[in-house]
Amino acid sequence: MERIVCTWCQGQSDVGSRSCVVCGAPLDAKQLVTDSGWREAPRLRDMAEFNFGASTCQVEGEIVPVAEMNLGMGDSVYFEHHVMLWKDENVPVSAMNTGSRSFGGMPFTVTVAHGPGRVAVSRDATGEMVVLPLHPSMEVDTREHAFLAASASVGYSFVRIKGLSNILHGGSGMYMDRFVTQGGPGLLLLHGNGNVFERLLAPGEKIMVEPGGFLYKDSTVQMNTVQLPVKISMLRRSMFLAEMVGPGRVGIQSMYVHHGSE
Amino acid sequence: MPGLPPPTIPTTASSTYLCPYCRLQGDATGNSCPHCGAPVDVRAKVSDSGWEAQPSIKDMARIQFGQSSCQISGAYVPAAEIRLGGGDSIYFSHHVLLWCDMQIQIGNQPMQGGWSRMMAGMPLIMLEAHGPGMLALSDNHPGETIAVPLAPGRTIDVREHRFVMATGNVGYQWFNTSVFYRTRSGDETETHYPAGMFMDRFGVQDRPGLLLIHSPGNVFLRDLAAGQSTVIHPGALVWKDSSVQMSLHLERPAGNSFSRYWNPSTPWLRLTGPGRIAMASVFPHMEGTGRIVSHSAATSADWNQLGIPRAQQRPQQPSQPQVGMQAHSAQAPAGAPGQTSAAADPLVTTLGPVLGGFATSQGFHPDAVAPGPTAMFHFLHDSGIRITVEVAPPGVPGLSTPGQPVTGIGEAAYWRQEGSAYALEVRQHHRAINVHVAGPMSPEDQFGWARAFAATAASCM
Amino acid sequence: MDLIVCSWCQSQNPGGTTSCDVCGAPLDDAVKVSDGGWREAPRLHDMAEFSFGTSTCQVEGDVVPVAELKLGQGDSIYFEHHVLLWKDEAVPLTVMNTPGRSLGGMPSVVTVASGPGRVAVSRDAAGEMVVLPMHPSMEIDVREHAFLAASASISYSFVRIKGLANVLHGGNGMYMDRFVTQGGPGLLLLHGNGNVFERLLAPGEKMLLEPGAFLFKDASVQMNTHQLPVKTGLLSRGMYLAEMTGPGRIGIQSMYVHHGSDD
Repeated sequence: MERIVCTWCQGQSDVGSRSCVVCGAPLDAKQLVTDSGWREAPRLRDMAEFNFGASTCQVEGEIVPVAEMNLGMGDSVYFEHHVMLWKDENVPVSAMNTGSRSFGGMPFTVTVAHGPGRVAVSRDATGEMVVLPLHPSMEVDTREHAFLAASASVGYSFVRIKGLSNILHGGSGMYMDRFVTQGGPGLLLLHGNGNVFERLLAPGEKIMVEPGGFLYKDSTVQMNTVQLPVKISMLRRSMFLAEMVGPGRVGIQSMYVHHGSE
Repeated sequence: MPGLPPPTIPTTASSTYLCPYCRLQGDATGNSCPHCGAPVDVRAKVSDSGWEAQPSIKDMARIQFGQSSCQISGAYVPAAEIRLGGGDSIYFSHHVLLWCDMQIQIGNQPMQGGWSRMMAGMPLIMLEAHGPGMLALSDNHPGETIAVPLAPGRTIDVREHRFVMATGNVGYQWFNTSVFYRTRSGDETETHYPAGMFMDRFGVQDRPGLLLIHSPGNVFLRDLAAGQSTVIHPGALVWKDSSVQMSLHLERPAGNSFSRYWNPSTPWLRLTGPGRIAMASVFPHMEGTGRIVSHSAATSADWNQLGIPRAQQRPQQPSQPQVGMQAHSAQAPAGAPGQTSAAADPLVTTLGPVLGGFATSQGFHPDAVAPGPTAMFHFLHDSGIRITVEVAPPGVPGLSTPGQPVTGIGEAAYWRQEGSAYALEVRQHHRAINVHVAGPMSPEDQFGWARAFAATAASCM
Repeated sequence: MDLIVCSWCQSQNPGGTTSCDVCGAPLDDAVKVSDGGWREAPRLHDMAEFSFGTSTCQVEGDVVPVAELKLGQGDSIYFEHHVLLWKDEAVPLTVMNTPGRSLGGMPSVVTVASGPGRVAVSRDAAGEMVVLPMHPSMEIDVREHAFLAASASISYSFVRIKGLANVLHGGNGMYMDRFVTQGGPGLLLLHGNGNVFERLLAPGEKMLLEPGAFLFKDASVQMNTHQLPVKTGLLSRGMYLAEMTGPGRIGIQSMYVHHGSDD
């Protein structure tokens, strides 16, 4: 049978499907790519539905989308505790301990919801939901607090960023979340503030990004701090930008709090 | 039900348009409802679990009230432009005024008890505008502006800070939500009101009125049958019919005893029907410090005790009951003559604990049943509601003649009358289930219960 | 050849074009005008492209749009430094000094990016990008911090607002940015919070605005303070609105921080 290949995630769907069964991206809308090569994260159609494991995820609403997940028996997803909008009362939840990391002085707590049953998550800001289906053996780094939910097959850790590169995360933190798949595929949902754009960097290709605009990257992409000799205020002698070096994907968000001049 | 015609089965065809969002009849010649501005030409967007997205009011759509009209323009932070007729008036909070013309008369609304309430440390002061003239109002968050027309006798409760304006004839009261919990961290005790300390209540006596509400994010609606309940994040409630009751549900996730700081209980807001509720996709975080030391009336669940179902290699294995009870199946235990094929049906073994858990959370008890040819799950509520979920054997695509089609659930669903009772059939992935509802309640409530059970069952099909 | 006139900026485009080459506004959508006479700023098609000088600008996204500018040789644009989203490594940045003015206690610094190369800017709030192509000899006043970017052919100054009129800018400032073109045209990009509406006032025509909603105006429009005799707080004696008097265009935004009363 003929299959349609999704331009966003390369997943295959049956001919006649309107949205990708793997990531929910519309299959009948043209991919939008800027002249310089940034492609826009697909705007999911209201009520678009896609599958992962024995579960489905439906995305509702367009201003601040909600991801409603119908977990199959044995499946589970995890998310930051405070993004949970509603759930079936009989869906069990447990806590994932993240050890030495704390969030605003409190231990950073990740909640796990177990199937079968439904749970819905959303972020408290205007923006786009980015669906990143992960193939086996992938490694993606994301900006702190951009993570919305991930399937249990995706391993979660975080990277502590030391020294000068703290600037890249502004005052808001020193961590970058790292998501890793081993043998099987997984699903990662991110929330980007404003609009989200992605670009594939060739090996050695460089782009300078405002640190606050950084949303995610393949772990193969190097992230360095570059100081521009531009005086931006009385006390600050320079401006910092993040230099991203390929190979790999880089995702940015269009709305951010500016932190580059700390 | 929002967007869902089923409860009106014996209806006669009507030439006027019944808006599914405000339930008022109007002239359908325009492309939006004249009472609430909801578009008339969109297909209802209902999620698989039964939440219906509130459609955005179309750019430039008009809403009529009295001798006046209101036009909503813009998409992200819509402005409501109001043309007030001679004898008409509205009231609004002073911070939502966007612009006005030079004719309109703006003054303070006479202080009637209610408005002297302090909001966020500042007195809530209302302005009143009298026509003729034009003015425009807008709120400060990207989100949906919702028009709720009030029919005489209907009262609704609105979360604090969501009110934009009301017509002059709309009565206003406020009340204490009485939904709270207290946390202690060290020597500090703090009281939290997760649904707000107060809610605003609006209603009209004799003439219809109009209320504009603005909510950040997207808004989703759901109708609860009498006695039916759902749990949502307390901060997400936008408005509810006054008939919907609120209480706390405290849930303790499994395996978090490591934390001295993090609040081990998640407070949820339990909403119990009958009536409509509206939820927003943007909600404030709840404070997480300290342990809950006291709280208003609440139900609770502790997943350390209830246990987490384990992933299973073979779905044929019966799963563990989750909520300490199991639904009864019509089948005799496996091995009984004539029942083996149904007992080995993986759908039946999966449905048992899932339906049982849902039913228990809604206050149902399993009911004794007589064996039959198909798998049956029976549930009985104290109020006399009886639910039967019938599972068609594998290979049987449908159980009965299709009735009125229902959108947003399974691949196909049908609602039909069976004497004084109703049934909802759901078909998905070549399987079919039939939910029968009987008991002393309205067709709307019967449909509500049927849909809730069917959606739960459909998640396993 | 048939020409289509853009209803937003009045530029002429060849027939068959779907978006205006001068301001990016869709040419295939009817202009939306409310009953009260406000027209909505055009919602740019995602990826709409338009040109200025030897450069092009492409607008991407519709929640918090990004303006991606491809600068030609010799062209440059300026912007407040914190709106920069990304740039080509080779694009040089310099600083334009704006002496005398400080922003939150710090001198406000305007950054200049020079062609050839690409640079992208966006604001940190949900809203609309307003594209205002300026003809020669035009003068536009803009709410402080609403300015996103301008081509180098537009000169930039600011007006200090004294006395009572401070109330019109609430607690957050005393300046209004002024953009002026001389002999040649220029491109001005603004960011409006929420939705943006515009109307043309006839000579002498008046309109009252919430001060926080004011976004831009032609310099020919007079702006005065108008006090409404209502009580908005325990201590405040009145509510201040901005009285706008024509002739000229005024632009408003639907999302703002309320600053009109001194409570």
